[in-house]
Amino acid sequence: MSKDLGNGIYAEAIMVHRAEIKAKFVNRYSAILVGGLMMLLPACASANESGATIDNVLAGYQSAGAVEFSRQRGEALWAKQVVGAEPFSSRSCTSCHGADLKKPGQHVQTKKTIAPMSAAANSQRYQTEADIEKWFLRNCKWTFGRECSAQEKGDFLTYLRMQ
Amino acid sequence: MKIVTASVSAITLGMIITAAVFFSTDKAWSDEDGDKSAFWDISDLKRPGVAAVSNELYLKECGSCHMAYPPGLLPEKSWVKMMGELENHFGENAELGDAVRTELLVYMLNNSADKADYRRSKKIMRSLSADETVDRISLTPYFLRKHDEVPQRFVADNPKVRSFSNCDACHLNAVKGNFNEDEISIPGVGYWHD
Repeated sequence: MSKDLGNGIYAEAIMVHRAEIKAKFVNRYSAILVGGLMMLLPACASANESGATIDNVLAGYQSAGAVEFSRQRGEALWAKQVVGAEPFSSRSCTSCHGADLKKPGQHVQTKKTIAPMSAAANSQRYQTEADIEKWFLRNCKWTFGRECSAQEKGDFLTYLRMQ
Repeated sequence: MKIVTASVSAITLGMIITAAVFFSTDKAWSDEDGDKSAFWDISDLKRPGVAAVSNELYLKECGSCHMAYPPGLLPEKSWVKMMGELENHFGENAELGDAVRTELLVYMLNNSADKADYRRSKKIMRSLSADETVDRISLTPYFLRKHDEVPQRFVADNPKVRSFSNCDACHLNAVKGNFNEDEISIPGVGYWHD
Protein backbone atom coordinates (compact mmCIF):
# COMPACT_ATOMS: atom_id res chain seq x y z
CA MET A 1 0.00 0.00 0.00
CA SER A 2 2.97 2.29 0.38
CA LYS A 3 3.72 2.87 -3.30
CA ASP A 4 1.09 5.48 -4.07
CA LEU A 5 1.01 6.87 -0.56
CA GLY A 6 4.68 7.00 0.23
CA ASN A 7 5.11 10.63 1.06
CA GLY A 8 4.45 13.24 3.71
CA ILE A 9 1.87 12.60 6.33
CA TYR A 10 0.99 9.13 5.02
CA ALA A 11 4.53 7.86 5.09
CA GLU A 12 4.70 9.07 8.65
CA ALA A 13 1.33 7.59 9.55
CA ILE A 14 2.17 4.28 7.95
CA MET A 15 5.52 4.11 9.74
CA VAL A 16 3.83 4.78 13.05
CA HIS A 17 1.17 2.25 12.13
CA ARG A 18 3.68 -0.51 11.41
CA ALA A 19 5.62 0.20 14.57
CA GLU A 20 2.39 0.00 16.52
CA ILE A 21 1.40 -3.32 15.04
CA LYS A 22 4.69 -4.72 16.34
CA ALA A 23 3.93 -3.42 19.79
CA LYS A 24 0.20 -3.89 19.81
CA PHE A 25 -0.15 -4.44 23.53
CA VAL A 26 2.03 -1.45 24.38
CA ASN A 27 -0.11 0.55 21.98
CA ARG A 28 -3.30 -0.52 23.68
CA TYR A 29 -2.10 0.73 27.02
CA SER A 30 -0.74 3.96 25.57
CA ALA A 31 -4.03 4.51 23.73
CA ILE A 32 -5.83 4.24 27.05
CA LEU A 33 -3.33 6.67 28.58
CA VAL A 34 -3.64 9.17 25.72
CA GLY A 35 -7.42 8.79 25.79
CA GLY A 36 -7.41 9.46 29.51
CA LEU A 37 -5.29 12.60 29.10
CA MET A 38 -7.58 13.81 26.29
CA MET A 39 -10.53 13.41 28.63
CA LEU A 40 -8.79 15.43 31.32
CA LEU A 41 -7.94 18.37 29.05
CA PRO A 42 -11.45 19.74 28.50
CA ALA A 43 -12.18 19.22 32.20
CA CYS A 44 -9.31 21.58 33.04
CA ALA A 45 -10.78 24.35 30.91
CA SER A 46 -13.81 26.12 32.29
CA ALA A 47 -16.36 28.46 30.81
CA ASN A 48 -14.60 31.38 32.46
CA GLU A 49 -11.54 30.68 30.42
CA SER A 50 -13.16 31.39 27.06
CA GLY A 51 -12.46 35.10 27.60
CA ALA A 52 -8.79 34.42 28.40
CA THR A 53 -8.48 32.11 25.40
CA ILE A 54 -9.95 34.76 23.08
CA ASP A 55 -7.60 37.39 24.58
CA ASN A 56 -4.63 35.18 23.79
CA VAL A 57 -5.81 34.49 20.26
CA LEU A 58 -6.40 38.21 19.61
CA ALA A 59 -2.92 39.04 20.92
CA GLY A 60 -1.53 36.51 18.47
CA TYR A 61 -3.38 38.16 15.57
CA GLN A 62 -1.95 41.55 16.58
CA SER A 63 1.55 40.10 16.59
CA ALA A 64 0.74 38.87 13.09
CA GLY A 65 0.05 42.44 11.98
CA ALA A 66 -3.63 43.03 12.70
CA VAL A 67 -4.67 46.54 13.72
CA GLU A 68 -7.43 47.41 16.18
CA PHE A 69 -10.32 44.98 15.96
CA SER A 70 -13.81 46.10 15.05
CA ARG A 71 -17.05 44.56 16.24
CA GLN A 72 -18.89 46.24 13.35
CA ARG A 73 -16.56 44.80 10.71
CA GLY A 74 -16.92 41.40 12.35
CA GLU A 75 -20.70 41.64 12.31
CA ALA A 76 -20.78 42.73 8.67
CA LEU A 77 -18.47 39.91 7.60
CA TRP A 78 -20.54 37.43 9.61
CA ALA A 79 -23.67 38.40 7.65
CA LYS A 80 -21.98 38.81 4.26
CA GLN A 81 -23.56 36.72 1.52
CA VAL A 82 -21.04 35.02 -0.70
CA VAL A 83 -21.52 33.33 -4.07
CA GLY A 84 -20.48 29.70 -3.74
CA ALA A 85 -20.81 26.40 -5.51
CA GLU A 86 -24.20 24.73 -5.90
CA PRO A 87 -26.30 23.65 -4.13
CA PHE A 88 -25.46 26.45 -1.69
CA SER A 89 -24.92 29.20 -4.23
CA SER A 90 -25.53 31.94 -1.66
CA ARG A 91 -23.81 31.24 1.61
CA SER A 92 -22.75 33.03 4.77
CA CYS A 93 -21.85 32.22 8.35
CA THR A 94 -25.55 32.38 9.11
CA SER A 95 -26.29 29.57 6.62
CA CYS A 96 -25.41 27.15 9.41
CA HIS A 97 -25.15 29.25 12.57
CA GLY A 98 -28.52 30.99 12.14
CA ALA A 99 -29.47 34.59 12.78
CA ASP A 100 -29.66 34.44 16.59
CA LEU A 101 -26.27 33.50 17.99
CA LYS A 102 -27.75 32.68 21.39
CA LYS A 103 -29.76 29.89 19.76
CA PRO A 104 -28.57 26.69 18.14
CA GLY A 105 -27.94 26.69 14.42
CA GLN A 106 -28.54 23.95 11.91
CA HIS A 107 -26.01 22.65 9.40
CA VAL A 108 -27.24 23.56 5.94
CA GLN A 109 -26.30 20.17 4.44
CA THR A 110 -26.63 17.61 7.21
CA LYS A 111 -29.31 19.46 9.23
CA LYS A 112 -27.36 18.61 12.36
CA THR A 113 -27.88 20.97 15.27
CA ILE A 114 -24.94 23.29 15.92
CA ALA A 115 -24.54 24.57 19.48
CA PRO A 116 -24.93 28.36 19.94
CA MET A 117 -21.97 30.59 19.08
CA SER A 118 -22.61 32.85 22.07
CA ALA A 119 -20.24 32.06 24.94
CA ALA A 120 -22.96 33.25 27.33
CA ALA A 121 -25.34 30.64 25.92
CA ASN A 122 -22.78 27.91 25.37
CA SER A 123 -19.99 27.41 27.88
CA GLN A 124 -18.16 25.00 25.56
CA ARG A 125 -17.30 27.73 23.02
CA TYR A 126 -13.83 29.29 22.62
CA GLN A 127 -12.14 26.90 25.04
CA THR A 128 -8.96 26.23 23.10
CA GLU A 129 -6.93 28.09 20.53
CA ALA A 130 -6.64 24.89 18.47
CA ASP A 131 -10.40 24.53 18.15
CA ILE A 132 -10.88 28.21 17.28
CA GLU A 133 -8.28 27.97 14.51
CA LYS A 134 -9.61 24.64 13.25
CA TRP A 135 -13.09 26.04 12.70
CA PHE A 136 -11.82 29.35 11.23
CA LEU A 137 -9.79 27.38 8.71
CA ARG A 138 -12.64 25.06 7.69
CA ASN A 139 -15.44 27.55 7.72
CA CYS A 140 -13.64 30.48 6.09
CA LYS A 141 -12.67 28.14 3.25
CA TRP A 142 -16.18 26.73 2.89
CA THR A 143 -17.94 30.08 3.15
CA PHE A 144 -15.52 32.52 1.49
CA GLY A 145 -13.48 30.07 -0.57
CA ARG A 146 -10.28 31.20 1.14
CA GLU A 147 -8.65 31.43 4.55
CA CYS A 148 -9.49 34.47 6.65
CA SER A 149 -6.80 36.98 7.56
CA ALA A 150 -5.69 37.61 11.14
CA GLN A 151 -7.57 40.92 10.96
CA GLU A 152 -10.81 39.24 9.85
CA LYS A 153 -10.58 36.52 12.47
CA GLY A 154 -9.94 39.13 15.16
CA ASP A 155 -12.95 41.14 14.00
CA PHE A 156 -15.08 37.99 14.07
CA LEU A 157 -14.02 37.12 17.62
CA THR A 158 -14.52 40.68 18.80
CA TYR A 159 -18.09 40.54 17.48
CA LEU A 160 -18.83 36.99 18.64
CA ARG A 161 -17.55 37.41 22.20
CA MET A 162 -20.09 40.17 22.79
CA GLN A 163 -23.06 38.00 21.85
CA MET B 1 -0.92 -37.67 37.69
CA LYS B 2 -0.56 -38.26 33.98
CA ILE B 3 -4.00 -39.78 33.80
CA VAL B 4 -5.51 -36.79 35.59
CA THR B 5 -3.78 -34.34 33.21
CA ALA B 6 -4.85 -36.36 30.20
CA SER B 7 -8.48 -36.53 31.30
CA VAL B 8 -8.52 -32.79 32.10
CA SER B 9 -7.13 -32.13 28.61
CA ALA B 10 -9.73 -34.41 27.07
CA ILE B 11 -12.54 -32.67 28.95
CA THR B 12 -11.22 -29.23 27.96
CA LEU B 13 -10.94 -30.28 24.32
CA GLY B 14 -14.45 -31.68 24.46
CA MET B 15 -15.78 -28.42 25.90
CA ILE B 16 -14.03 -26.38 23.21
CA ILE B 17 -15.48 -28.52 20.42
CA THR B 18 -18.96 -28.42 21.96
CA ALA B 19 -18.77 -24.64 22.36
CA ALA B 20 -17.53 -24.21 18.79
CA VAL B 21 -20.37 -26.29 17.36
CA PHE B 22 -22.92 -24.63 19.62
CA PHE B 23 -21.90 -21.09 18.74
CA SER B 24 -21.50 -21.71 15.05
CA THR B 25 -24.85 -23.49 14.62
CA ASP B 26 -26.54 -20.88 16.80
CA LYS B 27 -25.23 -18.16 14.51
CA ALA B 28 -26.23 -20.08 11.40
CA TRP B 29 -29.84 -20.19 12.61
CA SER B 30 -30.04 -16.68 13.97
CA ASP B 31 -28.31 -14.75 11.20
CA GLU B 32 -30.39 -12.46 9.04
CA ASP B 33 -31.07 -12.00 5.36
CA GLY B 34 -30.03 -15.47 4.35
CA ASP B 35 -26.53 -14.75 5.51
CA LYS B 36 -26.26 -18.29 6.80
CA SER B 37 -22.83 -19.73 7.04
CA ALA B 38 -21.83 -23.29 7.56
CA PHE B 39 -20.94 -24.43 11.06
CA TRP B 40 -17.30 -24.87 10.05
CA ASP B 41 -17.02 -21.19 9.02
CA ILE B 42 -14.72 -19.90 11.73
CA SER B 43 -15.69 -16.29 11.00
CA ASP B 44 -18.81 -16.98 13.05
CA LEU B 45 -16.63 -17.38 16.08
CA LYS B 46 -15.51 -13.78 15.74
CA ARG B 47 -17.15 -11.20 17.88
CA PRO B 48 -20.43 -9.97 16.38
CA GLY B 49 -21.01 -6.46 15.00
CA VAL B 50 -18.03 -4.15 14.74
CA ALA B 51 -15.73 -2.75 17.41
CA ALA B 52 -17.18 0.31 19.16
CA VAL B 53 -15.10 3.47 18.91
CA SER B 54 -12.67 3.58 21.82
CA ASN B 55 -10.60 6.66 21.01
CA GLU B 56 -11.52 9.96 22.66
CA LEU B 57 -9.81 12.11 20.04
CA TYR B 58 -11.66 10.25 17.27
CA LEU B 59 -14.98 10.69 19.06
CA LYS B 60 -14.34 14.43 19.48
CA GLU B 61 -12.97 15.24 16.03
CA CYS B 62 -15.21 13.03 13.88
CA GLY B 63 -18.20 13.03 16.20
CA SER B 64 -18.58 16.81 16.25
CA CYS B 65 -20.14 16.71 12.77
CA HIS B 66 -21.53 13.19 12.37
CA MET B 67 -21.64 9.84 14.10
CA ALA B 68 -18.05 8.74 14.73
CA TYR B 69 -18.22 5.73 12.43
CA PRO B 70 -16.40 2.71 13.81
CA PRO B 71 -13.20 2.27 11.74
CA GLY B 72 -14.11 -1.42 11.36
CA LEU B 73 -16.72 -0.43 8.78
CA LEU B 74 -14.19 0.36 6.01
CA PRO B 75 -10.83 -1.02 4.96
CA GLU B 76 -7.51 0.73 5.47
CA LYS B 77 -7.24 2.04 1.90
CA SER B 78 -10.62 3.79 2.15
CA TRP B 79 -9.63 5.54 5.37
CA VAL B 80 -6.25 6.57 3.95
CA LYS B 81 -7.97 8.08 0.90
CA MET B 82 -10.58 9.87 3.01
CA MET B 83 -8.02 11.36 5.40
CA GLY B 84 -6.11 12.70 2.38
CA GLU B 85 -9.17 14.52 1.06
CA LEU B 86 -10.47 16.29 4.16
CA GLU B 87 -10.50 19.64 2.40
CA ASN B 88 -13.42 18.27 0.39
CA HIS B 89 -15.08 15.81 2.72
CA PHE B 90 -18.33 15.01 0.91
CA GLY B 91 -18.79 18.70 0.12
CA GLU B 92 -17.58 19.98 3.50
CA ASN B 93 -14.23 21.29 4.56
CA ALA B 94 -13.07 19.04 7.39
CA GLU B 95 -9.36 19.93 7.41
CA LEU B 96 -7.28 18.98 10.43
CA GLY B 97 -3.79 19.85 11.58
CA ASP B 98 -1.17 17.26 10.68
CA ALA B 99 -0.61 16.06 14.26
CA VAL B 100 -4.30 15.38 14.90
CA ARG B 101 -4.83 13.89 11.46
CA THR B 102 -1.91 11.50 11.89
CA GLU B 103 -3.05 10.40 15.35
CA LEU B 104 -6.57 9.73 14.04
CA LEU B 105 -5.27 7.87 10.99
CA VAL B 106 -3.12 5.60 13.14
CA TYR B 107 -6.15 4.69 15.23
CA MET B 108 -8.25 4.15 12.10
CA LEU B 109 -5.60 1.94 10.47
CA ASN B 110 -5.19 -0.16 13.61
CA ASN B 111 -8.93 -0.81 13.67
CA SER B 112 -9.91 -0.88 10.00
CA ALA B 113 -12.18 -3.60 8.63
CA ASP B 114 -9.30 -5.56 7.13
CA LYS B 115 -7.78 -6.02 10.60
CA ALA B 116 -10.81 -6.12 12.87
CA ASP B 117 -11.72 -9.45 14.39
CA TYR B 118 -15.43 -8.76 14.20
CA ARG B 119 -18.04 -10.56 12.16
CA ARG B 120 -19.53 -7.59 10.31
CA SER B 121 -16.08 -6.20 9.49
CA LYS B 122 -15.23 -9.56 7.93
CA LYS B 123 -18.45 -9.54 5.92
CA ILE B 124 -17.80 -6.01 4.66
CA MET B 125 -14.31 -7.07 3.59
CA ARG B 126 -15.60 -10.16 1.81
CA SER B 127 -18.08 -8.02 -0.14
CA LEU B 128 -15.43 -5.64 -1.49
CA SER B 129 -13.42 -6.19 -4.63
CA ALA B 130 -9.67 -5.82 -4.28
CA ASP B 131 -9.22 -3.30 -7.08
CA GLU B 132 -11.52 -0.51 -5.96
CA THR B 133 -11.40 1.95 -3.07
CA VAL B 134 -14.90 2.61 -1.81
CA ASP B 135 -15.46 6.14 -0.45
CA ARG B 136 -18.45 5.54 1.76
CA ILE B 137 -19.59 2.84 4.16
CA SER B 138 -23.01 3.11 2.52
CA LEU B 139 -21.48 2.17 -0.86
CA THR B 140 -19.95 -1.13 0.23
CA PRO B 141 -21.74 -4.07 -1.41
CA TYR B 142 -22.46 -5.54 2.02
CA PHE B 143 -24.18 -2.34 3.14
CA LEU B 144 -26.16 -2.06 -0.10
CA ARG B 145 -27.34 -5.66 0.16
CA LYS B 146 -28.39 -5.20 3.77
CA HIS B 147 -30.40 -2.07 2.98
CA ASP B 148 -31.86 -2.93 -0.43
CA GLU B 149 -35.32 -3.58 1.01
CA VAL B 150 -35.50 -0.26 2.86
CA PRO B 151 -37.92 2.05 1.02
CA GLN B 152 -36.98 5.64 0.24
CA ARG B 153 -39.74 7.01 2.47
CA PHE B 154 -38.01 5.49 5.52
CA VAL B 155 -34.69 7.23 4.88
CA ALA B 156 -34.18 9.91 2.19
CA ASP B 157 -37.77 11.19 2.44
CA ASN B 158 -37.90 10.81 6.21
CA PRO B 159 -36.99 14.18 7.79
CA LYS B 160 -35.81 12.41 10.96
CA VAL B 161 -33.38 10.21 9.03
CA ARG B 162 -32.59 11.95 5.69
CA SER B 163 -29.60 9.83 4.80
CA PHE B 164 -28.10 6.38 5.20
CA SER B 165 -25.15 8.25 6.71
CA ASN B 166 -27.13 8.69 9.92
CA CYS B 167 -26.70 5.10 11.15
CA ASP B 168 -27.82 5.91 14.65
CA ALA B 169 -31.09 7.44 13.50
CA CYS B 170 -32.42 3.87 13.18
CA HIS B 171 -29.77 1.55 14.61
CA LEU B 172 -30.38 2.09 18.30
CA ASN B 173 -27.03 0.66 19.36
CA ALA B 174 -24.89 1.80 16.43
CA VAL B 175 -22.49 3.65 18.70
CA LYS B 176 -21.82 0.36 20.49
CA GLY B 177 -21.04 -1.27 17.15
CA ASN B 178 -24.28 -3.26 17.17
CA PHE B 179 -26.31 -3.30 13.96
CA ASN B 180 -28.59 -6.27 14.64
CA GLU B 181 -32.03 -6.34 13.04
CA ASP B 182 -33.76 -6.52 16.40
CA GLU B 183 -32.08 -3.28 17.45
CA ILE B 184 -33.59 -1.10 14.71
CA SER B 185 -36.34 1.47 15.15
CA ILE B 186 -37.06 3.78 12.22
CA PRO B 187 -38.30 7.21 13.34
CA GLY B 188 -41.97 7.63 12.45
CA VAL B 189 -42.18 4.00 11.36
CA GLY B 190 -41.27 1.85 14.35
CA TYR B 191 -39.39 -1.34 14.88
CA TRP B 192 -38.10 -2.94 11.75
CA HIS B 193 -39.02 -6.48 10.86
CA ASP B 194 -37.60 -8.14 7.82
